[in-house]
Amino acid sequence: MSSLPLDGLTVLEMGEGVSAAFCSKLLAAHGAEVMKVDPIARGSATDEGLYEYLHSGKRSIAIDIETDDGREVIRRLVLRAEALVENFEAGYLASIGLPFEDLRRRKPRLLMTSITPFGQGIVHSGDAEAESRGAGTPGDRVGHPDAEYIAGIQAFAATSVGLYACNYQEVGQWIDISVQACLVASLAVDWGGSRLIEIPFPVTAEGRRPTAEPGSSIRFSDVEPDQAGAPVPGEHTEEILADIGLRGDEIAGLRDRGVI
Amino acid sequence: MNRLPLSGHRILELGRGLAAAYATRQLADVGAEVIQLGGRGELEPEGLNAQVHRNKYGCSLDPRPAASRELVLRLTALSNLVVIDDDQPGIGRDEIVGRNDDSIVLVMPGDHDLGLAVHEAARDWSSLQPASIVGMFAVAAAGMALQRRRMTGEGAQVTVSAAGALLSLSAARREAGPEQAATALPPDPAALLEDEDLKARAFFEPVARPGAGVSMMDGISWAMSRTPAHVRLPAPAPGEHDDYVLRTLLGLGDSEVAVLVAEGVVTPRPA
Repeated sequence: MSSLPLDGLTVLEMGEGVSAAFCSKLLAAHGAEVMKVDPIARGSATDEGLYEYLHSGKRSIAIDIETDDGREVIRRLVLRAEALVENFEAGYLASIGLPFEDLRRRKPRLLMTSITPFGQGIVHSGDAEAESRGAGTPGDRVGHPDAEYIAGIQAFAATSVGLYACNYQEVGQWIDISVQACLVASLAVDWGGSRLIEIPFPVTAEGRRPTAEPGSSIRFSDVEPDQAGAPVPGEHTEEILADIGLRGDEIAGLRDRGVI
Repeated sequence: MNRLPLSGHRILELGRGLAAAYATRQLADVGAEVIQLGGRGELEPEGLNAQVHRNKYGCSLDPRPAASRELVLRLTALSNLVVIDDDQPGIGRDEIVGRNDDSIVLVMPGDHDLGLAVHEAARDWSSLQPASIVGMFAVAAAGMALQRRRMTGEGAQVTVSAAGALLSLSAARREAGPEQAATALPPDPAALLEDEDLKARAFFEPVARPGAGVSMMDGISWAMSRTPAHVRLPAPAPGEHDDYVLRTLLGLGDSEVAVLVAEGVVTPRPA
Protein backbone atom coordinates (compact mmCIF):
# COMPACT_ATOMS: atom_id res chain seq x y z
CA MET A 1 0.00 0.00 0.00
CA SER A 2 1.62 3.26 -1.07
CA SER A 3 1.80 6.31 1.09
CA LEU A 4 0.38 9.72 0.42
CA PRO A 5 3.16 11.89 -0.95
CA LEU A 6 3.33 14.32 1.97
CA ASP A 7 3.02 11.68 4.69
CA GLY A 8 5.28 12.47 7.59
CA LEU A 9 5.43 16.20 6.86
CA THR A 10 3.90 18.79 9.15
CA VAL A 11 2.69 22.21 8.06
CA LEU A 12 1.73 25.09 10.32
CA GLU A 13 -0.89 27.43 8.87
CA MET A 14 -1.36 30.97 10.10
CA GLY A 15 -3.40 33.91 8.90
CA GLU A 16 -6.91 34.49 7.70
CA GLY A 17 -8.85 34.53 4.47
CA VAL A 18 -8.52 32.23 1.50
CA SER A 19 -5.02 31.92 0.07
CA ALA A 20 -3.08 30.27 2.92
CA ALA A 21 -6.11 28.19 3.87
CA PHE A 22 -6.56 26.87 0.33
CA CYS A 23 -2.85 26.12 0.00
CA SER A 24 -2.83 24.14 3.26
CA LYS A 25 -6.06 22.34 2.40
CA LEU A 26 -4.37 21.00 -0.73
CA LEU A 27 -1.30 19.99 1.28
CA ALA A 28 -3.52 18.18 3.80
CA ALA A 29 -5.37 16.33 1.04
CA HIS A 30 -2.06 14.85 -0.06
CA GLY A 31 -1.02 13.64 3.36
CA ALA A 32 0.56 16.57 5.20
CA GLU A 33 -0.40 17.02 8.84
CA VAL A 34 -1.70 20.58 8.88
CA MET A 35 -2.06 22.50 12.13
CA LYS A 36 -4.11 25.64 11.67
CA VAL A 37 -3.54 28.43 14.16
CA ASP A 38 -6.84 30.14 14.94
CA PRO A 39 -7.58 33.21 17.07
CA ILE A 40 -9.08 32.56 20.49
CA ALA A 41 -12.16 34.69 19.85
CA ARG A 42 -14.82 32.34 18.55
CA GLY A 43 -16.55 34.10 15.70
CA SER A 44 -18.98 31.97 13.75
CA ALA A 45 -18.11 31.16 10.15
CA THR A 46 -20.02 33.41 7.79
CA ASP A 47 -20.08 30.73 5.09
CA GLU A 48 -20.04 27.26 6.53
CA GLY A 49 -19.82 25.51 3.18
CA LEU A 50 -16.74 27.52 2.25
CA TYR A 51 -15.23 26.93 5.69
CA GLU A 52 -15.70 23.15 5.34
CA TYR A 53 -14.12 23.29 1.89
CA LEU A 54 -11.13 25.42 2.84
CA HIS A 55 -10.23 23.63 6.06
CA SER A 56 -10.85 19.96 5.34
CA GLY A 57 -8.24 17.63 6.77
CA LYS A 58 -6.68 20.06 9.24
CA ARG A 59 -6.33 20.23 13.02
CA SER A 60 -6.90 23.53 14.80
CA ILE A 61 -5.20 25.15 17.75
CA ALA A 62 -6.75 28.38 19.05
CA ILE A 63 -4.15 30.60 20.67
CA ASP A 64 -3.42 34.30 21.17
CA ILE A 65 -0.17 34.89 19.28
CA GLU A 66 0.07 38.44 20.55
CA THR A 67 1.11 37.18 23.99
CA ASP A 68 4.60 36.04 24.98
CA ASP A 69 3.22 32.64 25.97
CA GLY A 70 1.40 32.32 22.68
CA ARG A 71 4.48 33.18 20.66
CA GLU A 72 6.56 30.69 22.60
CA VAL A 73 4.04 27.99 21.70
CA ILE A 74 4.31 29.00 18.05
CA ARG A 75 8.10 28.73 18.22
CA ARG A 76 7.77 25.23 19.61
CA LEU A 77 5.24 24.30 16.93
CA VAL A 78 7.64 25.54 14.27
CA LEU A 79 10.24 23.10 15.60
CA ARG A 80 7.81 20.31 14.82
CA ALA A 81 6.89 21.56 11.36
CA GLU A 82 8.68 21.34 8.04
CA ALA A 83 6.78 24.32 6.65
CA LEU A 84 4.93 27.41 7.79
CA VAL A 85 2.31 28.82 5.42
CA GLU A 86 0.91 32.22 6.30
CA ASN A 87 -0.94 35.09 4.73
CA PHE A 88 -0.82 37.81 7.35
CA GLU A 89 -0.11 41.36 6.22
CA ALA A 90 3.50 41.79 5.11
CA GLY A 91 5.73 42.31 8.16
CA TYR A 92 3.10 41.36 10.73
CA LEU A 93 4.79 38.22 12.05
CA ALA A 94 8.11 40.05 12.33
CA SER A 95 6.40 42.92 14.12
CA ILE A 96 5.03 40.62 16.83
CA GLY A 97 8.35 38.87 17.39
CA LEU A 98 8.17 35.95 14.95
CA PRO A 99 10.45 36.99 12.07
CA PHE A 100 11.61 34.35 9.60
CA GLU A 101 15.27 34.78 10.55
CA ASP A 102 14.52 33.85 14.17
CA LEU A 103 12.39 30.87 13.19
CA ARG A 104 15.06 29.70 10.77
CA ARG A 105 17.75 29.92 13.44
CA ARG A 106 15.75 27.46 15.53
CA LYS A 107 14.78 25.29 12.58
CA PRO A 108 17.41 25.53 9.82
CA ARG A 109 15.41 23.54 7.27
CA LEU A 110 12.25 25.56 7.75
CA LEU A 111 10.34 26.49 4.63
CA MET A 112 8.18 29.55 5.13
CA THR A 113 5.67 30.43 2.42
CA SER A 114 4.13 33.87 2.83
CA ILE A 115 1.25 35.09 0.70
CA THR A 116 0.35 38.77 0.56
CA PRO A 117 -1.50 40.94 -1.94
CA PHE A 118 1.62 42.64 -3.30
CA GLY A 119 4.54 40.74 -1.78
CA GLN A 120 6.86 41.48 1.12
CA GLY A 121 8.43 44.48 -0.57
CA ILE A 122 11.91 43.00 -0.29
CA VAL A 123 14.19 42.15 -3.18
CA HIS A 124 16.33 39.13 -2.41
CA SER A 125 19.72 38.71 -3.96
CA GLY A 126 20.71 35.48 -2.24
CA ASP A 127 22.73 36.61 0.71
CA ALA A 128 21.55 40.19 1.16
CA GLU A 129 18.18 41.84 1.09
CA ALA A 130 17.34 45.32 -0.01
CA GLU A 131 14.20 47.12 1.09
CA SER A 132 12.38 48.17 -2.00
CA ARG A 133 8.89 49.14 -1.01
CA GLY A 134 6.69 50.01 -3.93
CA ALA A 135 4.49 53.06 -3.74
CA GLY A 136 1.55 51.13 -5.12
CA THR A 137 -1.86 51.33 -3.61
CA PRO A 138 -4.05 48.25 -3.38
CA GLY A 139 -6.70 48.62 -5.95
CA ASP A 140 -8.01 47.50 -9.24
CA ARG A 141 -4.99 47.59 -11.53
CA VAL A 142 -5.67 43.94 -12.15
CA GLY A 143 -8.23 41.91 -10.31
CA HIS A 144 -9.97 38.61 -10.57
CA PRO A 145 -12.49 36.92 -8.29
CA ASP A 146 -10.26 33.83 -8.18
CA ALA A 147 -7.05 35.74 -7.36
CA GLU A 148 -6.73 34.37 -3.80
CA TYR A 149 -7.27 30.82 -5.05
CA ILE A 150 -4.75 31.21 -7.84
CA ALA A 151 -2.23 32.45 -5.29
CA GLY A 152 -3.14 29.55 -3.03
CA ILE A 153 -2.39 27.11 -5.84
CA GLN A 154 0.98 28.80 -6.50
CA ALA A 155 1.73 28.60 -2.79
CA PHE A 156 0.76 24.90 -2.83
CA ALA A 157 3.19 24.31 -5.68
CA ALA A 158 5.93 26.40 -4.05
CA THR A 159 5.48 24.63 -0.72
CA SER A 160 5.48 21.17 -2.32
CA VAL A 161 8.62 21.84 -4.35
CA GLY A 162 10.11 23.78 -1.44
CA LEU A 163 9.51 20.95 1.04
CA TYR A 164 11.33 18.55 -1.26
CA ALA A 165 14.21 20.96 -1.87
CA CYS A 166 14.66 22.11 1.73
CA ASN A 167 14.67 18.45 2.75
CA TYR A 168 17.31 17.19 0.33
CA GLN A 169 19.40 20.38 0.35
CA GLU A 170 19.12 20.43 4.16
CA VAL A 171 18.53 24.19 4.30
CA GLY A 172 15.34 26.20 4.42
CA GLN A 173 14.17 29.40 2.86
CA TRP A 174 11.39 31.95 2.69
CA ILE A 175 9.16 32.06 -0.35
CA ASP A 176 7.37 35.34 -0.97
CA ILE A 177 4.15 34.86 -2.95
CA SER A 178 2.39 37.97 -4.22
CA VAL A 179 -1.26 37.54 -5.22
CA GLN A 180 -0.79 40.26 -7.79
CA ALA A 181 2.29 38.58 -9.32
CA CYS A 182 0.50 35.21 -9.44
CA LEU A 183 -2.40 36.77 -11.28
CA VAL A 184 -0.10 38.61 -13.67
CA ALA A 185 1.84 35.40 -14.28
CA SER A 186 -1.45 33.77 -15.32
CA LEU A 187 -2.41 36.50 -17.75
CA ALA A 188 -2.50 35.78 -21.46
CA VAL A 189 -0.17 38.59 -22.46
CA ASP A 190 2.73 38.97 -24.82
CA TRP A 191 4.80 41.29 -22.62
CA GLY A 192 7.35 41.99 -25.30
CA GLY A 193 4.61 43.33 -27.53
CA SER A 194 2.57 44.63 -24.59
CA ARG A 195 -0.61 43.02 -25.88
CA LEU A 196 -3.28 40.59 -24.74
CA ILE A 197 -3.32 37.24 -26.49
CA GLU A 198 -6.44 35.44 -27.69
CA ILE A 199 -6.14 31.76 -26.95
CA PRO A 200 -8.64 29.79 -29.01
CA PHE A 201 -9.70 26.60 -27.28
CA PRO A 202 -10.82 23.79 -29.55
CA VAL A 203 -13.97 22.28 -28.08
CA THR A 204 -16.05 19.66 -29.83
CA ALA A 205 -19.26 18.03 -28.67
CA GLU A 206 -17.99 14.49 -29.08
CA GLY A 207 -15.92 12.97 -26.30
CA ARG A 208 -17.52 15.10 -23.60
CA ARG A 209 -16.64 13.73 -20.20
CA PRO A 210 -18.41 14.00 -16.87
CA THR A 211 -17.54 17.07 -14.89
CA ALA A 212 -14.89 16.34 -12.28
CA GLU A 213 -15.31 17.15 -8.62
CA PRO A 214 -13.08 19.72 -6.99
CA GLY A 215 -10.32 17.87 -5.19
CA SER A 216 -9.66 15.58 -8.11
CA SER A 217 -7.13 18.00 -9.58
CA ILE A 218 -4.18 15.72 -8.83
CA ARG A 219 -4.45 11.95 -8.60
CA PHE A 220 -1.59 9.64 -7.76
CA SER A 221 -2.32 6.28 -9.37
CA ASP A 222 -1.57 4.27 -6.26
CA VAL A 223 -3.20 6.20 -3.42
CA GLU A 224 -6.38 8.18 -2.75
CA PRO A 225 -6.29 11.73 -1.37
CA ASP A 226 -7.44 12.30 2.21
CA GLN A 227 -11.09 13.24 2.56
CA ALA A 228 -11.30 14.29 6.21
CA GLY A 229 -13.62 17.01 7.45
CA ALA A 230 -12.79 20.48 8.74
CA PRO A 231 -12.03 21.10 12.43
CA VAL A 232 -14.01 23.24 14.80
CA PRO A 233 -11.68 26.18 15.61
CA GLY A 234 -9.58 25.21 18.64
CA GLU A 235 -10.77 21.61 18.51
CA HIS A 236 -7.24 20.22 18.86
CA THR A 237 -5.65 22.85 21.11
CA GLU A 238 -4.97 20.60 24.07
CA GLU A 239 -3.85 17.63 22.03
CA ILE A 240 -1.42 19.77 20.03
CA LEU A 241 -0.03 21.39 23.18
CA ALA A 242 0.43 17.96 24.72
CA ASP A 243 2.23 16.85 21.52
CA ILE A 244 4.81 19.60 22.01
CA GLY A 245 5.40 18.56 25.59
CA LEU A 246 3.22 20.84 27.69
CA ARG A 247 1.96 19.29 30.91
CA GLY A 248 -1.62 19.53 32.11
CA ASP A 249 -0.82 22.27 34.62
CA GLU A 250 0.99 24.33 31.98
CA ILE A 251 -1.98 24.01 29.64
CA ALA A 252 -4.31 25.06 32.46
CA GLY A 253 -2.05 28.03 33.12
CA LEU A 254 -2.30 29.16 29.51
CA ARG A 255 -6.07 28.92 29.72
CA ASP A 256 -6.17 30.90 32.98
CA ARG A 257 -4.10 33.68 31.40
CA GLY A 258 -6.38 33.82 28.38
CA VAL A 259 -3.68 32.65 25.96
CA ILE A 260 -5.78 29.70 24.76
CA MET B 1 26.51 29.74 -4.66
CA ASN B 2 23.06 28.63 -3.59
CA ARG B 3 21.54 25.94 -5.77
CA LEU B 4 18.02 26.49 -7.02
CA PRO B 5 15.43 24.04 -5.65
CA LEU B 6 15.48 21.78 -8.71
CA SER B 7 19.03 22.38 -9.82
CA GLY B 8 20.53 19.10 -11.04
CA HIS B 9 17.13 17.61 -11.87
CA ARG B 10 16.33 16.69 -15.45
CA ILE B 11 12.76 16.76 -16.74
CA LEU B 12 11.67 15.45 -20.13
CA GLU B 13 8.76 17.36 -21.64
CA LEU B 14 7.04 14.96 -24.02
CA GLY B 15 3.67 16.62 -23.62
CA ARG B 16 2.77 19.10 -26.31
CA GLY B 17 -0.19 20.86 -24.75
CA LEU B 18 -0.15 24.24 -23.10
CA ALA B 19 -0.76 22.88 -19.60
CA ALA B 20 2.32 20.65 -19.89
CA ALA B 21 4.30 23.61 -21.20
CA TYR B 22 3.35 25.81 -18.26
CA ALA B 23 4.11 23.06 -15.77
CA THR B 24 7.61 22.50 -17.10
CA ARG B 25 8.15 26.25 -17.37
CA GLN B 26 7.77 26.66 -13.62
CA LEU B 27 9.98 23.65 -12.96
CA ALA B 28 12.62 25.09 -15.29
CA ASP B 29 12.25 28.48 -13.61
CA VAL B 30 13.29 26.95 -10.29
CA GLY B 31 16.33 25.25 -11.72
CA ALA B 32 15.33 22.04 -13.46
CA GLU B 33 16.92 21.13 -16.78
CA VAL B 34 13.81 20.77 -18.92
CA ILE B 35 14.33 19.11 -22.29
CA GLN B 36 11.71 19.50 -24.99
CA LEU B 37 11.78 17.20 -27.96
CA GLY B 38 11.03 18.12 -31.53
CA GLY B 39 8.36 17.77 -34.12
CA ARG B 40 6.78 20.99 -32.85
CA GLY B 41 7.35 22.99 -35.97
CA GLU B 42 10.29 24.85 -37.39
CA LEU B 43 9.48 28.32 -36.14
CA GLU B 44 11.72 30.32 -33.84
CA PRO B 45 9.85 30.92 -30.60
CA GLU B 46 8.26 34.32 -30.25
CA GLY B 47 5.40 35.98 -28.43
CA LEU B 48 3.70 33.56 -26.05
CA ASN B 49 5.99 30.66 -27.00
CA ALA B 50 9.06 32.71 -26.11
CA GLN B 51 7.57 33.24 -22.66
CA VAL B 52 6.25 29.75 -22.09
CA HIS B 53 9.44 27.97 -23.12
CA ARG B 54 12.10 30.16 -21.48
CA ASN B 55 14.65 28.37 -19.31
CA LYS B 56 14.17 25.17 -21.34
CA TYR B 57 16.43 23.15 -23.65
CA GLY B 58 15.32 21.99 -27.10
CA CYS B 59 16.30 18.96 -29.15
CA SER B 60 14.90 18.40 -32.62
CA LEU B 61 14.52 14.63 -32.10
CA ASP B 62 10.90 13.92 -33.02
CA PRO B 63 9.50 11.47 -30.43
CA ARG B 64 6.59 10.34 -32.60
CA PRO B 65 8.19 8.00 -35.19
CA ALA B 66 9.10 4.42 -34.29
CA ALA B 67 12.71 5.14 -35.20
CA SER B 68 13.14 7.41 -32.19
CA ARG B 69 11.34 5.23 -29.67
CA GLU B 70 14.39 3.65 -28.09
CA LEU B 71 16.23 6.95 -27.84
CA VAL B 72 13.25 8.60 -26.16
CA LEU B 73 12.96 5.74 -23.67
CA ARG B 74 16.65 6.13 -22.88
CA LEU B 75 16.05 9.82 -22.25
CA THR B 76 13.22 8.99 -19.86
CA ALA B 77 15.65 6.77 -17.96
CA LEU B 78 18.09 9.70 -17.76
CA SER B 79 15.40 12.04 -16.41
CA ASN B 80 14.10 12.53 -12.87
CA LEU B 81 10.59 13.14 -14.16
CA VAL B 82 8.69 12.87 -17.44
CA VAL B 83 5.71 15.00 -18.48
CA ILE B 84 3.30 13.58 -21.05
CA ASP B 85 -0.16 14.48 -22.34
CA ASP B 86 -2.90 11.92 -21.71
CA ASP B 87 -4.00 12.01 -25.34
CA GLN B 88 -0.67 11.96 -27.13
CA PRO B 89 0.37 9.32 -29.60
CA GLY B 90 3.63 7.46 -29.17
CA ILE B 91 5.28 6.63 -25.87
CA GLY B 92 2.91 6.51 -22.94
CA ARG B 93 3.18 5.99 -19.22
CA ASP B 94 3.23 2.19 -19.35
CA GLU B 95 6.30 2.12 -21.55
CA ILE B 96 8.08 4.68 -19.43
CA VAL B 97 7.37 2.79 -16.22
CA GLY B 98 8.27 -0.44 -17.96
CA ARG B 99 11.73 0.96 -18.62
CA ASN B 100 12.17 2.25 -15.04
CA ASP B 101 9.75 1.13 -12.39
CA ASP B 102 10.53 4.11 -10.16
CA SER B 103 9.76 6.63 -12.89
CA ILE B 104 7.78 9.72 -12.05
CA VAL B 105 5.33 10.44 -14.86
CA LEU B 106 2.99 13.43 -14.85
CA VAL B 107 0.03 12.93 -17.15
CA MET B 108 -1.33 16.28 -18.26
CA PRO B 109 -4.55 17.19 -20.03
CA GLY B 110 -3.95 17.97 -23.68
CA ASP B 111 -5.29 21.13 -25.26
CA HIS B 112 -8.60 19.47 -26.17
CA ASP B 113 -9.28 18.43 -22.58
CA LEU B 114 -8.24 21.85 -21.39
CA GLY B 115 -10.64 23.52 -23.80
CA LEU B 116 -13.45 21.23 -22.70
CA ALA B 117 -12.76 21.95 -19.04
CA VAL B 118 -12.73 25.70 -19.66
CA HIS B 119 -16.02 25.41 -21.52
CA GLU B 120 -17.64 23.33 -18.80
CA ALA B 121 -16.40 25.57 -16.02
CA ALA B 122 -18.50 28.33 -17.63
CA ARG B 123 -16.33 31.00 -16.08
CA ASP B 124 -14.90 34.19 -17.45
CA TRP B 125 -11.36 33.25 -18.34
CA SER B 126 -11.08 35.98 -20.93
CA SER B 127 -7.82 37.43 -19.68
CA LEU B 128 -6.36 34.39 -17.94
CA GLN B 129 -4.47 31.35 -19.10
CA PRO B 130 -6.23 28.37 -17.54
CA ALA B 131 -3.30 26.28 -18.76
CA SER B 132 -1.02 28.11 -16.33
CA ILE B 133 -3.33 27.28 -13.42
CA VAL B 134 -3.58 23.63 -14.41
CA GLY B 135 0.19 23.59 -14.94
CA MET B 136 0.74 24.87 -11.42
CA PHE B 137 -1.09 21.85 -9.98
CA ALA B 138 1.32 19.70 -11.94
CA VAL B 139 4.24 21.58 -10.38
CA ALA B 140 2.85 20.70 -6.96
CA ALA B 141 2.50 17.09 -8.08
CA ALA B 142 6.13 17.09 -9.19
CA GLY B 143 7.35 18.36 -5.83
CA MET B 144 5.25 15.82 -3.97
CA ALA B 145 6.28 12.90 -6.19
CA LEU B 146 9.96 13.77 -5.85
CA GLN B 147 9.53 14.04 -2.09
CA ARG B 148 7.84 10.65 -1.83
CA ARG B 149 10.42 8.95 -4.03
CA ARG B 150 13.21 10.37 -1.94
CA MET B 151 11.63 8.98 1.22
CA THR B 152 10.31 5.64 -0.05
CA GLY B 153 12.02 4.93 -3.36
CA GLU B 154 8.66 4.62 -5.11
CA GLY B 155 7.95 6.27 -8.42
CA ALA B 156 4.58 7.78 -9.24
CA GLN B 157 2.15 8.15 -12.08
CA VAL B 158 0.19 11.29 -11.40
CA THR B 159 -2.77 12.44 -13.45
CA VAL B 160 -3.59 16.13 -13.47
CA SER B 161 -7.19 16.88 -14.34
CA ALA B 162 -8.02 20.15 -16.07
CA ALA B 163 -11.64 19.95 -14.96
CA GLY B 164 -10.68 19.15 -11.36
CA ALA B 165 -8.09 21.91 -11.29
CA LEU B 166 -10.36 24.61 -12.67
CA LEU B 167 -13.38 23.55 -10.64
CA SER B 168 -11.31 23.61 -7.45
CA LEU B 169 -11.20 27.38 -7.74
CA SER B 170 -13.70 28.99 -5.42
CA ALA B 171 -15.86 25.89 -5.30
CA ALA B 172 -18.36 27.45 -2.99
CA ARG B 173 -18.68 30.59 -5.07
CA ARG B 174 -19.48 28.45 -8.08
CA GLU B 175 -22.70 27.43 -6.38
CA ALA B 176 -23.81 31.04 -6.39
CA GLY B 177 -24.22 30.93 -10.15
CA PRO B 178 -22.28 31.89 -13.25
CA GLU B 179 -23.53 35.48 -13.30
CA GLN B 180 -21.39 36.26 -10.30
CA ALA B 181 -18.18 35.01 -11.85
CA ALA B 182 -17.48 37.45 -14.64
CA THR B 183 -16.02 40.51 -12.96
CA ALA B 184 -12.42 40.32 -14.13
CA LEU B 185 -10.92 43.61 -15.25
CA PRO B 186 -9.07 43.45 -18.55
CA PRO B 187 -5.47 44.32 -17.75
CA ASP B 188 -3.45 46.99 -19.46
CA PRO B 189 -0.10 45.29 -20.11
CA ALA B 190 1.73 48.59 -20.53
CA ALA B 191 0.51 49.83 -17.13
CA LEU B 192 1.45 46.55 -15.45
CA LEU B 193 4.99 46.80 -16.81
CA GLU B 194 5.25 50.08 -14.88
CA ASP B 195 3.49 48.87 -11.74
CA GLU B 196 5.43 49.89 -8.62
CA ASP B 197 4.78 46.72 -6.65
CA LEU B 198 5.81 44.46 -9.51
CA LYS B 199 8.91 46.60 -9.97
CA ALA B 200 9.63 46.30 -6.24
CA ARG B 201 10.03 42.56 -6.69
CA ALA B 202 11.73 42.91 -10.08
CA PHE B 203 8.96 40.80 -11.58
CA PHE B 204 9.54 41.60 -15.24
CA GLU B 205 12.86 40.72 -16.79
CA PRO B 206 14.54 41.74 -20.04
CA VAL B 207 15.46 38.66 -22.05
CA ALA B 208 17.79 38.64 -25.02
CA ARG B 209 17.28 36.25 -27.90
CA PRO B 210 19.88 36.00 -30.68
CA GLY B 211 18.65 37.82 -33.74
CA ALA B 212 15.57 39.13 -31.97
CA GLY B 213 16.93 41.75 -29.61
CA VAL B 214 15.80 42.21 -26.03
CA SER B 215 12.22 42.07 -24.85
CA MET B 216 10.48 42.07 -21.50
CA MET B 217 8.76 39.02 -20.12
CA ASP B 218 7.21 37.94 -16.86
CA GLY B 219 9.81 36.57 -14.47
CA ILE B 220 9.60 33.92 -11.82
CA SER B 221 6.42 34.00 -9.77
CA TRP B 222 8.01 32.76 -6.52
CA ALA B 223 10.41 35.19 -4.85
CA MET B 224 12.76 32.91 -2.92
CA SER B 225 14.98 34.36 -0.23
CA ARG B 226 18.03 32.14 -0.49
CA THR B 227 17.85 31.15 -4.16
CA PRO B 228 16.35 34.03 -6.13
CA ALA B 229 15.44 32.79 -9.57
CA HIS B 230 15.58 34.51 -12.93
CA VAL B 231 15.10 33.90 -16.60
CA ARG B 232 18.44 32.25 -17.39
CA LEU B 233 17.83 31.16 -20.97
CA PRO B 234 15.60 32.39 -23.76
CA ALA B 235 13.21 29.83 -25.24
CA PRO B 236 15.22 27.37 -27.31
CA ALA B 237 15.37 27.64 -31.08
CA PRO B 238 14.46 24.38 -32.86
CA GLY B 239 17.34 21.93 -32.43
CA GLU B 240 19.40 24.40 -30.41
CA HIS B 241 20.56 21.75 -27.94
CA ASP B 242 20.80 18.76 -30.28
CA ASP B 243 24.49 18.27 -29.55
CA TYR B 244 23.92 18.23 -25.80
CA VAL B 245 21.02 15.78 -25.94
CA LEU B 246 22.14 13.49 -28.77
CA ARG B 247 25.89 13.45 -28.20
CA THR B 248 26.44 14.27 -24.53
CA LEU B 249 23.39 12.63 -22.95
CA LEU B 250 22.70 9.82 -25.42
CA GLY B 251 26.33 9.31 -26.46
CA LEU B 252 25.57 9.16 -30.18
CA GLY B 253 28.42 9.59 -32.63
CA ASP B 254 28.56 11.31 -36.02
CA SER B 255 27.35 8.33 -38.05
CA GLU B 256 24.41 7.63 -35.74
CA VAL B 257 23.31 11.24 -35.82
CA ALA B 258 23.66 11.25 -39.61
CA VAL B 259 21.30 8.27 -39.83
CA LEU B 260 18.73 10.09 -37.70
CA VAL B 261 19.02 13.15 -39.92
CA ALA B 262 18.63 11.02 -43.05
CA GLU B 263 15.50 9.42 -41.58
CA GLY B 264 14.07 12.85 -40.88
CA VAL B 265 13.87 12.12 -37.16
CA VAL B 266 16.38 14.84 -36.31
CA THR B 267 16.40 18.20 -38.05
CA PRO B 268 19.72 19.97 -37.57
CA ARG B 269 19.80 23.75 -37.51
CA PRO B 270 21.11 25.38 -40.63
CA ALA B 271 24.74 26.36 -40.09
